[in-house]
Amino acid sequence: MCLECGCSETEGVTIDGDPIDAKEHKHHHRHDHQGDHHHHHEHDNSHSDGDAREIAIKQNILEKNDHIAEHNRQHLRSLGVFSMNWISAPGSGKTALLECMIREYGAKLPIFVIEGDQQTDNDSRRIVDAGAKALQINTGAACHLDAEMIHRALHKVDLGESRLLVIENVGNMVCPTAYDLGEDLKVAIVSSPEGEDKPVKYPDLILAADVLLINKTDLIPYLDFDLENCVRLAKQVNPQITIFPVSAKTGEGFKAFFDWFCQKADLQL
Amino acid sequence: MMSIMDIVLKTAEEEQAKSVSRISLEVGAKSGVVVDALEFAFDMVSRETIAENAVLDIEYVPLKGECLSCGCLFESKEFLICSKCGNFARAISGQELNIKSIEVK
Repeated sequence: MCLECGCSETEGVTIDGDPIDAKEHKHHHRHDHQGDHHHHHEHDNSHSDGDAREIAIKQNILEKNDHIAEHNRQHLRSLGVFSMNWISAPGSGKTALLECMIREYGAKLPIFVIEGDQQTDNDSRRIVDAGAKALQINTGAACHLDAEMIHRALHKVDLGESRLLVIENVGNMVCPTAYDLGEDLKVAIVSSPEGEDKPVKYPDLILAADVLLINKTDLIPYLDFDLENCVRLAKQVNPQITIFPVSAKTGEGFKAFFDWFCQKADLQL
Repeated sequence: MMSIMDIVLKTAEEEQAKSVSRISLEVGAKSGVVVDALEFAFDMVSRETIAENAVLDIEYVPLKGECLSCGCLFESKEFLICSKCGNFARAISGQELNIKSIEVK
C-alpha cells in the first residue's frame, strides 16, 4: 500500500504484459495469523503482562526501496547507461517530450524508455513508433513506480546499445516523489495550462527534483501564464533546481536541456 | 505503508513480542506523505496482525533551511528563502520518513 495515498501497490502490476508475482514482490502481511480469524491478541494485551518495552529502530521507512534503487543505479552505471526519472501530472506532455527527443537525437543517442501507466501500452507504442526501444509497466491500482518494479523490468530487457534510460513515471505529482528508482536525475515537468503556481502547489516534488521542465511554452500566448513568475516560484521552493522552458510541439528550448544533461552525464554524440 | 509494516513485524518477531502497542514515526513536512492517508492505510494493513490497534505516534518534522549566503538556519512553511537576508537556502530537514521505535509487549 502506498505511503502517500493508501492505494494498492501489489495488485495487478504487469511488466510488458506479464503479471509480476505479488507474493514475491512484497511480503504478505498476515503471516502472523494464518488461518486465525479471531482477534485473541486483544486479551494477550491485557495489563496482566503489561511489560511494554520500547525498541529503538531508527530506520528510513523506504530503506528497502532505497536499497534496491541503489542496486539499480550501480547496475545502470556499470552498463554505462545514464538514467532519468520523469515525474509530472497526467497530461503535462512527458510522452510528447520523449517523442520530440527521440526524433531529434535518437539516431545519435540510443534511448530506452520504461513507461509507467496504470493501464494500456499506448505510451510505449508511441515511443516505439518514434524510433526508440520501450518497455511498458502497468501498475494496475498503484499510483507510482517503485525500485522493485524497475529492478524486475531491468531483468527483462536487453538495454543493448542504449546509453540513456528514461523512466516515465505514472502521471502523479505526489506519490512518485518519495520513491527513488535508482535514477541519476529526477526530472519534474509542469506545463503552462496547469498554471504558473504549480511548483508551489506541489512543492515536495519540486524540492526533490534536480530539474524542472516547463512544457507547452508554445501555448503561453493564449494563456494567463507568467513564465518568469513560474520560474521564480519554483526557485523559491528549491533554489538549486535547474529549469528549462520547453515546447514538445515546436521543439523550442529542448536543445538547451538536452545539451545540459549530456554534458552532466558525459554523453558524447 | 507495507514498508512500515515489514519493518514493524520483522522487529517484533525478532523481539518475540506478542503485540505491538505503539509505532513512533518521523514524517517531514516535505516528505510527500499525507499523515491522514498514512493513518488510514495503517488501519487497513495492520488488521489481523500483532500490530492491530497499535497507536501511530507521528512526529512532524518542519522544513528547515540553511541560507546559502549568510549560513543562518531558519524554519519555513513553504519557501527556501532566508528569513534574514532573503537569499536562497538549502533544505536541511523536512524530507524525513523514518521509523524511530516501536513499543511491544
